[in-house]
Amino acid sequence: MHYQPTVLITDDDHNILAAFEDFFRRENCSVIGVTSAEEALHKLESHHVDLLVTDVRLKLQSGVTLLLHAKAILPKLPVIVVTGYPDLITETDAKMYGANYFFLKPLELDKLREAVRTCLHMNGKS
Amino acid sequence: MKKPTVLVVDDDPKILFAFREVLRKDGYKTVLARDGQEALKKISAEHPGLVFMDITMPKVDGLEVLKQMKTQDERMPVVIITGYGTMQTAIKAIQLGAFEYLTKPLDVGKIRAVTREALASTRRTSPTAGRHGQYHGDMADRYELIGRSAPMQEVYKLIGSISTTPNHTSILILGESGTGKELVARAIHNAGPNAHKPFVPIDCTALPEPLLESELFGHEKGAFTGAGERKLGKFEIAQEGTIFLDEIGNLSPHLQQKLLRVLQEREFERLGGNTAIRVGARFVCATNHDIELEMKNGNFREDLFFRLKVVTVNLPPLRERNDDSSHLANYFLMKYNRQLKKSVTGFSDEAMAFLRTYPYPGNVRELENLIERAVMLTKGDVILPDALREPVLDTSVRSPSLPILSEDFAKSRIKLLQMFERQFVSELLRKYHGNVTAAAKGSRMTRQNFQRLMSKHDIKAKSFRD
Ligand SMILES: Nc1ncnc2c1ncn2[C@@H]1O[C@H](COP(=O)(O)OP(=O)(O)O)[C@@H](O)[C@H]1O
Ligand SMILES: [Mg+2]
Repeated sequence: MHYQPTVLITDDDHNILAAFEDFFRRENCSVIGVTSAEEALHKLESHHVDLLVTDVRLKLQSGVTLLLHAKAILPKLPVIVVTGYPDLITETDAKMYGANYFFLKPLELDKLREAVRTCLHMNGKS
Repeated sequence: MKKPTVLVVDDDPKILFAFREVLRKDGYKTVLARDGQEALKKISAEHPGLVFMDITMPKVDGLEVLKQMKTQDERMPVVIITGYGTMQTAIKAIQLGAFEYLTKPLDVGKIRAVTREALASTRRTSPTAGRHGQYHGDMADRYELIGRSAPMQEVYKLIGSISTTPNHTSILILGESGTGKELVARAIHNAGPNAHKPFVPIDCTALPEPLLESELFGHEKGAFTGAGERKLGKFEIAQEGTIFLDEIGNLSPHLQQKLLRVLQEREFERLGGNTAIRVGARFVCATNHDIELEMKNGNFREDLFFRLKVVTVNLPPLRERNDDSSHLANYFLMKYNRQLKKSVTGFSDEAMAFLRTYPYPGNVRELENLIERAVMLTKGDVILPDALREPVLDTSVRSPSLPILSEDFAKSRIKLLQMFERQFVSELLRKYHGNVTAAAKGSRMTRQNFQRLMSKHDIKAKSFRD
């Protein structure tokens, strides 16, 4: 059977979350969508996840807290950080905190698709 | 498919045996080592896919071994096990690149889950964002956070990750009053590479706006009436250290706007001056959760809020980590024995049961005050319930008003309800000496419902049995 990778998406905007979910289903991924960093951490502890996609700007704990936490428990988990607020965090910072890719909203889907494939590829192989 | 080899390092043969049994059932080959030197040898000989290692071992310290393992093979996951779970070891283990940090007692399910996770992780190859922090913990002992509960372990791990971020990463600490926000700020400071630089705490409620402004920004000679000499502000005094802004929710709109600019530009001018001065310090701010409400009501700038909380630490209230209250109580007992030159040795069982179940609306600060007072009052060897209960009961008799924990009605109601449930269940169990059936009957609840409340609040009947 073909392996279906699991993507955990964190965005507190339900519309964006839904759009993400569609996108990843078309990429043949199984999707877990959550709206807060707390829920995301909970899922990371209870589910196997192949890729984490998170917005920076979330209620209470931010996406960066989630990223730092995720990298502390799963150092090799690929993470894609997305933000609509370039002045909150730069690409350099995001990468230093351990993000593999950094994208600004509105998203360029081709670039996102390419990044996702690279992340999931390095996840499965070697 | 051949399953990978797992190395287990512990000086306790019982633990080694237990691991071997669990892992063998799952089909892994296990290699065992009794100390760090043996472990390093076995790594070169057997190339295990995963290591479980106890941190307290004779000869070489586990953290030192971890460091050496990581220089040999950076990608090999090492899971650190500890019997104590102190703040410093957790922070340091994560900084040194431990995959996970587990506290004893270990359960089989957890071992299995971590094994799976860790082995899955090495199949991935990504450029590791190496964490090359260094724990400068020696000077930190005075500010050690006490508590081994699961939520506090998460806080320690997060402090470990945060301490390696650069100073321009701001941090927001959220938690009710008395949960230890300032201690966490100090821990972040002490764990980072700039621990030897100043830690500068400022309470935003302590001064009226104009004074606070000149405290923070400093002023040039003659900037305003009364400004005699040039004065350096806290932003400058902190150098590359840490500025801790407590109660940030109380900052005036004017200062909110100025602070936002400082965070964006990383520079500022002294009052009455026009030379831009670089800010090298890290900003750590603290507030209770109500800052969100303040934002909704238009009293706190949204853009500042989101900039401050790029990294957030949530400190759970003490009543949600009841296991910690006994550790904290013993810690404060020692502290006040020393300070008050007393030699109280401990708590009676009943006093401890009370401490473990009291809901602490004032969190750790309240517990600390309670113990200080009890140590003062106690003439004998052990602290009895009376020495603790009196101030608590007193306040509830004198002021029938309930503690309002949040302005948000719904939140407040939930919190008070939880406090009530917890106290109610504990009181009844105390009365019926831990007999659940009798307590349920006394409360005219079904046994199931009563037990549901007990497990919801993690209340154990046995702590009430004599
Ligand atoms: N985990 C802890 N371990 C030891 N002492 C603590 C802990 N948490 C809080 N305290 C003590 O409780 C008091 C209140 O802590 P503080 O950091 O000022 O809380 P907050 O800033 O959240 O109001 C201080 O005396 C502090 O030393
Ligand atoms: Mg405080």
